[in-house]
Amino acid sequence: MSLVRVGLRGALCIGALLSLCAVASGCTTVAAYERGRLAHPTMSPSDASSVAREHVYAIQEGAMGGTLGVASGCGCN
Amino acid sequence: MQLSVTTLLMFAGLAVMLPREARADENPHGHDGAAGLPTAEKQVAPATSPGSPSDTVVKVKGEFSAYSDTDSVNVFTPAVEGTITNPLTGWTASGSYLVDIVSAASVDIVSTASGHWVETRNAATLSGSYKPGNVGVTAAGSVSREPDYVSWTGGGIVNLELADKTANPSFGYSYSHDTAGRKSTPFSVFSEKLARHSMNASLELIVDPLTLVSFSLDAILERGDQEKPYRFIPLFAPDIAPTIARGASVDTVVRAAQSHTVEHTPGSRNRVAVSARVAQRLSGSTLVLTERVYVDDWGLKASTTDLRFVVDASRRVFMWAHLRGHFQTGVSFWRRAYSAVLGEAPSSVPTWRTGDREMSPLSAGTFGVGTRWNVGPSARATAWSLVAQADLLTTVFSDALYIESRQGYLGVLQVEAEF
Repeated sequence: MSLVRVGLRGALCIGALLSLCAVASGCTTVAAYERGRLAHPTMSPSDASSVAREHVYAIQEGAMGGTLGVASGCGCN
Repeated sequence: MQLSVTTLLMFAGLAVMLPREARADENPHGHDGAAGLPTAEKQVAPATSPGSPSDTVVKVKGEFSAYSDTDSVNVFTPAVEGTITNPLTGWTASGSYLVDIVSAASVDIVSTASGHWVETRNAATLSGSYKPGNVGVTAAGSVSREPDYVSWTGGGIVNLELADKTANPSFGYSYSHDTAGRKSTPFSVFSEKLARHSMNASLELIVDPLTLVSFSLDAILERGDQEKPYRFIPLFAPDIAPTIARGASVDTVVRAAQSHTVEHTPGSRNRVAVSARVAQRLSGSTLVLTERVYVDDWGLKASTTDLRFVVDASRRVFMWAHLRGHFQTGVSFWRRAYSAVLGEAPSSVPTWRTGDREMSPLSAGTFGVGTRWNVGPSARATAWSLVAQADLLTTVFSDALYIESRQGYLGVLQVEAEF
């Protein structure tokens, strides 16, 4: 089995795991006063983000999408 | 890589098993942490009148990064970013600017008998947001300019807060217009155009007091020229092409090729990506797992898994490990060695051909570490922060010419200030 297929199958497992979390989310109501820990800086997608790292991934991976914000393309590869 | 996927799943399992009760003193955010999230703190009436200077938060971030890889590509990127926010009136304005200084003598350059070159790319973004209540809008624009490539992008996002702010959808659209040319040749003499429409719908859900889950759907429609004018594809005789091995050297390819031709790819490409992110606050740590599944009508399928585990070493110091795995198939017309019978009519040169190694089947992994040190005064530790990150990136090309793998190193230093 090729490395790529192994990776794609692993991804399906992880996707299923995340979907289970989503299903579970429909069952809970979280009051505003309980949300303080959700505001911890490390919970934010922008925490430790780096424009250089995002750019490296954009160039070296054939896939797009799932990133933050609006960015222009480049002729880098 | 099989091991790394297993490791990721183990981490996900650990997230469930590790103690999830947070310490009472663990939330060290200043202005930053609570700004983007609906909490009880934000519902407290302001002590000052809306719009007064003291309500405005200014953040500045400087970033210096250096990348180097075994394919002789070196990039130094200084960048600066600024944001002005007034949480009471709901206004945010931000801008960023970066310069990529690229020095390259990669095998792709060497294979076309070109020499080492140095080039700079300048990129800037501007955005403004207004979110007075449960509905917010953002408008953003960006430009990226190289000597032979210019890209303009404009777009907008609408954010909603529903179900007592526990379900927060957003919808975005952006349009990019890219112009590619040749260095030292005016765009009026030679240029290729590419238009890109990007649509995004995402949903963030508060699962419980310690867990955020978000889903995102991206559709990207590209129309125009994606060929690179510098990229030439070696053509081999039909009986020679199967003998060209993975990673064949430049010398081998030059000797075996009967001719070279320009790259030629379809005039449209439709891409779809679905991603999910789980952020889990644990006791003195945070686990963030992101998965993206991607497919396009050129036949490329990909999966990207990203895991970050942050430990609160103290109220001021955070340390993390970062793992990322990316696996993709090649586009349907990818061939390691394209074959053709020259002089034949009609031409047997494949209609679609590319030498872009990032469209070939590949596996990539990243292992990184990082630390944040909040060095501000004790009353506002996040007023000044230093961030250092180091990543080791490796890519294995399973069906490409010239190289079988590439190792890259990325170092990032950031300084953040909040006033």
